[in-house]
Parts: sequence; C-alpha cells; structure tokens
Amino acid sequence: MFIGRFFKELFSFPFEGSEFVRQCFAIGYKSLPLVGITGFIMGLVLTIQSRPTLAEFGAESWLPGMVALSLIREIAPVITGLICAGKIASGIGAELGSMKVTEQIDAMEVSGINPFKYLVVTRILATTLMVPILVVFADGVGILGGFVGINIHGDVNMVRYSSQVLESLDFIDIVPATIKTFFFGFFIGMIGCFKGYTAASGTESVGKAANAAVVVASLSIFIIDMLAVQITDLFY
Amino acid sequence: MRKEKGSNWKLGMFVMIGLVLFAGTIYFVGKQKNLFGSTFFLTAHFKSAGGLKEGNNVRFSGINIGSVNTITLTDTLVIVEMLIRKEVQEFIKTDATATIGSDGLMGDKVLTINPGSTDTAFVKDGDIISTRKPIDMDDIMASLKTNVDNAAIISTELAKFTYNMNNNEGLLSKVMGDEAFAKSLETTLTNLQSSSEQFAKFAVMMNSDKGAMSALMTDEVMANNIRQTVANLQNSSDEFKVFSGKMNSDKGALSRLVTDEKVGNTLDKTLINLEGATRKLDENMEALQSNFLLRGFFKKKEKAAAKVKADEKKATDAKIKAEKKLLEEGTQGFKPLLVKDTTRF
Amino acid sequence: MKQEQLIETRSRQTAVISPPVIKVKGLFKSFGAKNPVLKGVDLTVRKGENLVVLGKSGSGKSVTIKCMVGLVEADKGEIRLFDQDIATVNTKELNQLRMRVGFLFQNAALYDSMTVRENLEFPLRRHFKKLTEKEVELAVTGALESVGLAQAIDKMPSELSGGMRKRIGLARTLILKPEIILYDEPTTGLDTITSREISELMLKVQQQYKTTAVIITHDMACAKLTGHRLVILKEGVMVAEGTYDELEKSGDAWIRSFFI
Repeated sequence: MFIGRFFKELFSFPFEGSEFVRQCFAIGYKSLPLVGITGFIMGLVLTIQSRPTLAEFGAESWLPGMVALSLIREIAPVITGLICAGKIASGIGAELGSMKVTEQIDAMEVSGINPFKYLVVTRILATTLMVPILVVFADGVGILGGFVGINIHGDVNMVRYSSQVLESLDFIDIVPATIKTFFFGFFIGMIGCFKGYTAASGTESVGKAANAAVVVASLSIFIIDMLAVQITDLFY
Repeated sequence: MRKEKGSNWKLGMFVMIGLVLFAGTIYFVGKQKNLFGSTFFLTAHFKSAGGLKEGNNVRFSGINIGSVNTITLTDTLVIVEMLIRKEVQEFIKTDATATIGSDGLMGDKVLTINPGSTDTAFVKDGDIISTRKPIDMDDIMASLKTNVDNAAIISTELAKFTYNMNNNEGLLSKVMGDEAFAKSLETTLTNLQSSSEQFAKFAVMMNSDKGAMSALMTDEVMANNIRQTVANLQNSSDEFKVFSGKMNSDKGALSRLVTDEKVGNTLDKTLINLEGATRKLDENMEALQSNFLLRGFFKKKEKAAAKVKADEKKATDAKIKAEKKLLEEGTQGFKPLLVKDTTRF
Repeated sequence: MKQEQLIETRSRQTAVISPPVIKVKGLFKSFGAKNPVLKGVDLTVRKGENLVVLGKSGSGKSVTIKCMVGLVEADKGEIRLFDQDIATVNTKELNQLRMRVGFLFQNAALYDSMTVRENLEFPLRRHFKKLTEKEVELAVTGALESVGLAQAIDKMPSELSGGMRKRIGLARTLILKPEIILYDEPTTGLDTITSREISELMLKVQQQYKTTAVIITHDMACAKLTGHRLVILKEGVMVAEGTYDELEKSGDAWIRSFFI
C-alpha cells in the first residue's frame, strides 16, 4: 500500500525538486566518506586475505581480477547497502518518526501540503538514485584499496593493475550488480520512510522506528541480494 | 542561500564523478568486448561447440581479436558467429580454420582461428570459415583408457614372467640358478685352460731345434708320415668349423637353448659329454703335441661358451629393463593427465 | 484597560447571529473496536466566535478538531467546513479548505530542520508559487510581527522556548491568512504568565485577522479570557454548552468541578 502510494505520488504533478536535491545531498554526499572508507578497507582486506590462497595455486596474477570481481559483483553493493541501511534508513526512520510524533507531519497536512510527497517521495527517490552512485564510489575506492593491498607484497603499477581489472570484468558482472543497487536504495528509503511515517505517538516510538528501519532494511538487502543472484543465474 | 549553492555544487560533483566512473568502466569493458569499435562478422560451423559460450574470446595467432557473438543450434550443426575487430581482417585468409580450445586449465573456452596461407585473399564480412574438430576431453579420455588397458596387460605378463623365473621353472632359471650346470661349465673351462697351456708348451718345443720337430724337418719318411697326419687333421678341423658355425647360427642347438627345456636337458648331457670329451682331448693333446692348428679351435670354443652365458644374461636384462621402462612411461604418461582432470572437474 | 476593551468587543460580536462556518453532526470515531472516542458529537461554530471545547483528557477534544481538518477520518457523522462536506471533497478541494483553516498544534509542530523563516515560508511558497521574494519576505515579517517575534527570524526551532514556539506556530498558521484557527491546547506546558500572554495573543490575532476560533483547552484561565462560548465534552459526547458565566453557575456538580 505504501509502495503503491509512492508510485502514485511519484508521478503526480508538483515535484518537490529542491527538497529532492537537499535529500540527495544529505543521503548521497554525506555518506560518501563512510562508504569510501569502508570500500577502501574492504578492497585492501580482500586482497590481503585472498593472496595466500591464490599463491597456493600459483595464481597471484588473478588477484586484481578476483578482487575487482568480488567487489563489483557482491561486496561493494552489499556492504554499501548495509552501511546505508545503518546510516540512511535509521536516519530517515528517526527523522520521520520524530516528525510524526511531534505532529510535524500533521502540521504539513493541515497546511494543505502533501507530506507524503514532500517527505517520503523525495527521500525514496533520493536513496534509489544515490545508493547506486555510492556503490560506484565504493567499487572504485575498493579497487584502489586492492591496488594498495597488492603493492604491500608485490609491485604492480597502476596501469597494469587497472588493465587487469578491466580485463576480468564483463557486463554480466556490472549490469546485474548495478541494477540490484537501485533496489537496495529503493528499499532502504522505502523501509526508513515507512517505519518513520507510520510511527506511533510517543517519543519511544521514534527509537523503535529507527531501530526497526535498520533491521528490516539490512535484512531486505540480503533478501534482494539473494533474489538478484538467483535471477542473474537464470539469465546466465 | 549561499550554503545551499555550495552543497548543490558538491552534490553535482558527487553525481558527476560517480557517473563518469561508471560510464568509464562500462566503456572500457565494452571496448574489450568490441562493442564500440568497428567490427565484422565471421561464421564457423561446428559439429560440437565443446562448451563454447557467447562472449568467449576469439584468438588469432594467440591474440584476442574478438568475441563469440551468437551460437545457433541447427539440426546437424552448431553455427558460431564471431565479432572480430576490423583491423585484423586482412590477416585472416579465406583458408583459415577455426578450432575450439581451452584457455588454460581452468579457463574459458576460446575459439582459435589458425591463419591460412599468405597468398590467398582475406575474408569478407559474414564469410564462413572452415573448422577443425575440437580436441574433445572425451577423446582424450578414450585414448587414455586404451593406454591404461595395455599397461595392465603388460604388467600382468611381466609379473607372470618374473614369477616363473624366480620359481625354477623353465630353462632360463636353470641357466641362472642350477649349481651343477655351473660347475660342469666351470670344469670345462678349467680343462680348456690346461689344454691350452699344454699347447703352448708344445709350440715352444716345436720352435726349438732339438727334439722331434727338428727331426721331422730332416727325415724324409717321417715327413711324409706327418704330411698325411696334417691332412687328416685338416679334415677334422673343417668338421669342427661347420659345427661351430651351426652353433653360432640361430638354427643351432644353442639358440634353442633359450626356448626349449628338452634342449636344455640335452645340453646338460652334452656338456657332461663334452667334459669327458675335452678330458680325452686333453690326453690327445698331450699325445699330439706336434699339431699347432688346434690352438685356434680351442680358443674359439672357450669364447663361445662364455658368450652364450653373457648373451643370455644380457637378453633378460634388456628385456626386463625395456618392460620396466615401458611401464614407467605409461604411468608417467597419464599421471599428469589424471591430475589435470581432477582439477578440471 | 486594554483587556476590558477586548472583552467588550467579544460580547458585541456574540450578539450578532452570524452564519455557521463549521457544522459537526453526529460524529463517531473509535480507535479499535473497544475504544470508542467520539460517540455522536454535535457542534456548530459560527463565524467570528471563539468556541472553547472543554473536557478531561481522553474525552475526545483533540480528535474532534482533527476530524474537522481531515487529519482523522470519522467513522460516522458529517463535518461541514464552509458548507462543504469534507468527506466527499477530493484531495485538492480538501487542501483548498485546509488553507482556510489554521491549526496550532499542542507543541507547535515546527519543522525542526528548518529555520523560523523557512518554517513560515514553507506553506506560503507551496501554495503561492508566483510570489516574489519580496512579497514572501513581507508576509513572513508581517506574521512574525503580529506574534511579536520578529527578532527570531533566523533561529532554529530548537533554540526557542515553549512560548516562543507556540507563537511561531501561530505565525505559521497566520501566514496563510486563515478564516478559522483551531487551537489544540495552546497553553499546555507553559507557565501562567506565558499562558496569559498566549491567550491575549489569540484574542489580538482574532481582532487583527477577523478569524473564527475553536480552542481546545483545560486551562480555565484561557477559556475565560478567550471563549465566547464554551462546550464541555464527556466521554465522547457533548454534555454542556453556554457562556463561561452560565456554565460556572450550572446545577451539575460535575460541570461545576471544571471551574474550581
């Protein structure tokens, strides 16, 4: 029902442009440092951890490709998704929850403004579009982290490394992973908004809304990921 | 208001960098898959695609020049359409052939185009090039099976052979293991040695002017007598020559020695007889000190006996060695293959 | 002196029988099957009057006014705003009606993420897109001045005291120039002096903007000062109606208990 209303309101005429841009900034740009740091660490750690196993097979030259593949296919989207679930979904849940509790949402409604459109549609749209971009950054920074990780032991120059990375990639690695990040973003925003927007009265429910938003959003990321893998598997 | 503009600028940068990064990756990956460069099509018909997939690389002289675009199945054939970079078109001749191979042990399948002859024309867009049957894993496995079967047979035979050899059956084991036989052979040799010593003494005596020899040279009657004796001896030595020739040839008793037990027994007896004979010959020798021609014969006989023994030993050694080597080669031959197989599946 | 004048005008207005702007008839509302809040409320609010709704906590006062603007959907009954049934109008028409009705929430419900200026601009810009910057600025300062808080224009709601928040909340309702203002417990959580200030402000606003008001409160001082007419709700039903003086002298002990 909530989702249905989202799509109905999404295409109804007056679009809250400036609020959308504001939310994009808050959701996308403000999450960049966090996502960047985690992405970098994931790339670095993954490289260091995979090296011994690959070295056993004498396949250390596969390291860049393997790191890039696992980052782009799985790790960057899921980690970014989880971080956004923690940061964005909880933020939205708490914000809308407190707005609900302090009657700000009612206040908007009685002043003849559609709070769903203003608060929910903009936020969901913002997460849907920003999370994929964050994932792209996480991919990039993670691959950079992999580069650093490889250079701890060996010596690979940037050009060689990036060409190895690009060589190992295929559209089948990039496209489904990218599509799934849109769903991640959509559900992060959706669940955060839903939990916040439907919070009960009382300050306690703000905390509950934020908490539930994180839990459900994280869970939904894993479920979407699982479904995405299944669907990708079907086509490949 | 000012603050908002700053944040808009940052947001714009954020989105732009993200999109550029993404588009860049897509572009480079696409470039690798020849989506953006100018390309042309080639088609090849295979009996079996051998696990080839759409998107697999196409190689020409070991260089990636394109990718498999589509794989279509018909009633009898698999039609593989390749997308190939335009700039290599002039190097692919009309008589080039396509094969499906593997890219490394665990890697993808690759379609390899083998260059044709230089003097033919190069292919056009949409041409069909001929193919060669891909090396199928199943074929390798089938030939491997034959090898293994053969090796099994060889090793059973070998086991039987060595068992027989060790358990005193057959001639060879007798030759190598019978003490009595060895002793009689030894005695023969000792006798031969002593007779040759006697012969040496005789020769010395013959060379000196004293004694019978010098008498022979001067006495006419005696000379005639001796001449006759020499002629007789000549005859007997010829007979001996024939015998020794037979003995050395394949048809002779000695060659039968290796295969026939009966012969072996006979040989045993013969040798005993020979012992007796040589002993007598010894006595004859002593009596017949005047004839030097026999010396050569005795030497020859000694040598032949030693040779028989050595040959027999050598032959068995060589046979064992050869079989061992064969077996080793067999196991070595398919050992890595088996390892490969386990890693592949 | 000033207060006497106000009271005088108030009684003069009451004398005139003006047309009703809000009509509530047989309003039922329950939250869950076993929790009926409203059991047939009838109310009529006439143009220009200040109606005070009294009642204990849980008697359904807040729900009644929330029903009036469509925040809460009634189970049964009819609500007419400016002679339009709010149950039958579409969203757009409802929003048009809502613009003519101001609503001051219990805790002012200022938008925490915005400054005072943005709070005030927010409804204005959304409803009147063609306004120039200057017109918006003028409207904002005008509304702030009428609540006496022009200096707080660039503050964040979190920096304001309870009384100031209420005033800003009032200014935000006033900026759309409503014909009716619904006050949900305007003096709750304020000290007596601030409560009095707010009550006087409400009267002043009514003078200035010529509004009708429905005031929900259990603060008798506020009720006495601002109300032309009082209504008492008990367990979802209207039990008494009259002027402050009339109800104070009521024969019902329960009703009288409000005035002690």
